[in-house]
Amino acid sequence: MNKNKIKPPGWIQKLVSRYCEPYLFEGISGDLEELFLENVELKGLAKARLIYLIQAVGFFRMRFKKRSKRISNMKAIWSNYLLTSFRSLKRHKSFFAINLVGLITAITCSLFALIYVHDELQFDRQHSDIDNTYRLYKHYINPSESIDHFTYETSGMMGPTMTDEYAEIQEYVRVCPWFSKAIISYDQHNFGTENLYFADSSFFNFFDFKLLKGDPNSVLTAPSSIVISESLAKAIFQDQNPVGQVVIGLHDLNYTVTGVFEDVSRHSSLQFDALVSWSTTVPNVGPLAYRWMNNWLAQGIFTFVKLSDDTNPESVVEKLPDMMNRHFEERAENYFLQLMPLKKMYLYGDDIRDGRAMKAGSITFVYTLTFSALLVFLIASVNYVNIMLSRATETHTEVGVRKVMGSTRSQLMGRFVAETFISTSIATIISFILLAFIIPQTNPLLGKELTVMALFQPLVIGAAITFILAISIFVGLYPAIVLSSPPISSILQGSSSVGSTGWFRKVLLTLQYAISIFLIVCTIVVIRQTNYLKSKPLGFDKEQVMVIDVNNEVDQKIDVFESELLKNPNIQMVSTSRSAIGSGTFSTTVFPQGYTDEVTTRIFGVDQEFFETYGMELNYGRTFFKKSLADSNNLVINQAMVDYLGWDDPIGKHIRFSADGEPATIIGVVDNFHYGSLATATIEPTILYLNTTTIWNSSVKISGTNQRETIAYILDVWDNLASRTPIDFYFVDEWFDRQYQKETQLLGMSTIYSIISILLCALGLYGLTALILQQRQKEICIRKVLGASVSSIVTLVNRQFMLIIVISFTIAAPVAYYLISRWLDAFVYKISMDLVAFAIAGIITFLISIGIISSLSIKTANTNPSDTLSRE
Amino acid sequence: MKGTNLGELEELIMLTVALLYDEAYGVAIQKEIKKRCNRTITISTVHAALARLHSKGYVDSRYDGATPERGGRRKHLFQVTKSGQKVLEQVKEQRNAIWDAIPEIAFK
Repeated sequence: MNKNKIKPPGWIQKLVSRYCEPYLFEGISGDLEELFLENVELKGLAKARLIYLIQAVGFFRMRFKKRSKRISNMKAIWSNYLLTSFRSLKRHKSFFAINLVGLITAITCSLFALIYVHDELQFDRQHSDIDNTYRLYKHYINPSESIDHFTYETSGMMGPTMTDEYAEIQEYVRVCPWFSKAIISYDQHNFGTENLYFADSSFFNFFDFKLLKGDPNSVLTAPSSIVISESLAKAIFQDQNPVGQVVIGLHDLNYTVTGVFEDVSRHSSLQFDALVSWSTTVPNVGPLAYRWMNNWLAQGIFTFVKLSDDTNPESVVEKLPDMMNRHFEERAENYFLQLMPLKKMYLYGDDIRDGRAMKAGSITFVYTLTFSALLVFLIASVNYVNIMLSRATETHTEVGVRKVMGSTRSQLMGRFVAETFISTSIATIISFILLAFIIPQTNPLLGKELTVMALFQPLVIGAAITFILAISIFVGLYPAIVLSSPPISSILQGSSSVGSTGWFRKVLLTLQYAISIFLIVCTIVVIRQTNYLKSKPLGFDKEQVMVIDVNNEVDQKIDVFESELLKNPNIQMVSTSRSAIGSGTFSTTVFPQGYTDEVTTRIFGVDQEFFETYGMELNYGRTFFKKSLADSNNLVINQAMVDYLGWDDPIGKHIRFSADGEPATIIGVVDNFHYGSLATATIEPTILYLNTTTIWNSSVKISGTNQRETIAYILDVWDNLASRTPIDFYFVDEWFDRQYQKETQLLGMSTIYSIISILLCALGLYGLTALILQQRQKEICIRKVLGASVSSIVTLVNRQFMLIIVISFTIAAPVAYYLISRWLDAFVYKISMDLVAFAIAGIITFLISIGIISSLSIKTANTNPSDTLSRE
Repeated sequence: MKGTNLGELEELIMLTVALLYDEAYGVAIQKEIKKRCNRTITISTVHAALARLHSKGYVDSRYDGATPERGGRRKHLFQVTKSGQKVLEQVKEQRNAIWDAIPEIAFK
């Protein structure tokens, strides 16, 4: 063997020699080599080298570490730095407080945004096949009626047909949430379900919802099967085995409990506590026989499909118009089917309508929250840098002395970074405590169920540690470089040269101002838009109208119910019919006089009292005669319909509901009224017909006095009539307010963030002004001695800040204008962009700045010049 | 008292150092323990224990005997000191005293 080649790996030997105490190293390396040569004989060179390496690594222990005089000295230096840092933080309490408040706010906002966004991203992840699962939705286009929107409503035939015809579609599941609370009765007791879904038999195989009792393949197969949630099962059956029990449910039919599933996680878009087998609704199979859930025409159910692995959803979507042409030609020109990945469904469904009974988040809100948190972080960081830099005059001497004593630049930088590290660590701890209080408070506003435990996820703790390190390094480094920079000569001469960084601080201040102005403008526009939506006249009187669901046992006793209610003098009107405002709308197609093409309209089935109950304005003609069915073949239409048809004199004109149907006569025209969220829905042509036989909703108009007693009276009347059904009602004005939940959330958030940003900005300005005044104190005093007035000095200081405000305004305004216009574009009814928001934002910033600067400079200008000047 | 407590491994290594007398260095100690107790101890652990004993003052060391097998490096040789010997004896006595005090019935 070649002698030269038999050598242990030299690099590791070198490392060991560098690490170990030199005195020990000879013995160690000798031993290692001896073992190595032995191993070469026994196991071969390669293996011996590996063993050498492993053995050598074992020597990197504290025990063998080189003890160096310099290291112990470093320890002393560092403990001194830490001490000085603590002392300096203690000495400058007000600056320290400003810094701390800034850091706490920034860290709290960022961690909060992180927790919220992380929670939003958890949705629907429990489904193992999530990558291949899609929800069907459609692009609904009808140019003649200017309809162009997306909707989740599909028909019962779409899912089965596409799965049959296209091999890439492996399976489907249809889901139809029931429209109101369903009541389940067992053993004379009634239990309300929050959300009851009809679902195909493949439901439990398709989705990963956990079935605790029952066979996932068959629980939803037989008609009249019901599967309930664990907590519902516990409420109904206590300790009995629920499987096999018979309960009374929808339409007073008997249903057999076939299984129990684990309560649905809050991280699921689908939210249900009872499932009824789809076969229950199939005509000739199940007792319910809902044709509308099982044909092509009716749209109202939801469809999910699974594609085979590696199928491009686009390729499937391209084939679907062909299917529509073959099976559903009537709508092939209007309905364009699309696929929404289950993965994106929760967050990215903002502009798809009709996702009823499902949870949905908003990506816009997620972005807004993240973006705002970043902006606040930026403002706070800038504050921090500014205030640290402002201490340059004081640290000057310290740095000088340390340098004279032999400190290196990097050691001194370490000293300042350490100070940031201490502040950030304290701020993070306080942020955690604050968040523990904030998180439970914000749940109602954001519709979340987060607990304090959310703070202790590894992600959040990791983020907090990252913040501490990142702020210490990135935010703390720049001031550290500047503060440790002055050369000894300048210190010994006693000159202060740190003023040279003034322009940088001004750039930072401009940036802060720009961010604040931007946030204030956005908030003002959001406030105005939300107020506009909430206060725009709806075309009827939405106050004090209570809508009660009577599509249950009460419909048999509706006359008694109405007459009992009207006995109370505070109940002014009762209108019972199919439609009520807020209870959902229906559409139909009609043939108006002189039109051969069908026209799609909204349709309301109402009784004679409907118009008066809602205080609707009549534009032409009359409404239906009271206590008479004489108008059963007459119609009232809305102004939008008159405008759409272009009729000058609508009274007496006819409308047919089918091409060869009976003509119905128009007797009146009501002014346009809103029946949906002003954010998304326009007023479409609408027909109101007399319908006193379909008893679904009672609208009750009550007077403004003694509301509490009146409501108690209504509940009393209900309890006397209904033995089985709890009352289910809403107020129309509250219903409209609920439509703007998203806007209200955004409003809450942007208000909080803009207040925070302006406060931080004010703090930063305070710090900077105090510094500038300190630096210019002598100048100010000399000016005073020479006869300057207080007001001229205040103006002098103010002047340089006013330019900053003007510049930042010119930066922020166009950005805000652009983003806000885009946000407003999504609304059907919106305020026009004007200069009010910009003016208010400008004035707020201006006034706050003037206030801070003036109060500080007046204080300086009023000090006795002799106090300052006599010091030298 | 804390200083006089010996770890089990420390005791074993000290005894081996005494046993090998003039030839007690890392590899030799490791091999001896392997031979007598069939116990594999990594070389770094042996050195760590020796360094610990050295700092407690129970062993002394010197450098001697360079050979080509060691790349020309000298051996780091160890020897038990007086206080080391005392501590070993103390451990032995304590053990014996306990052994003697164990009632016969305990191991029946």
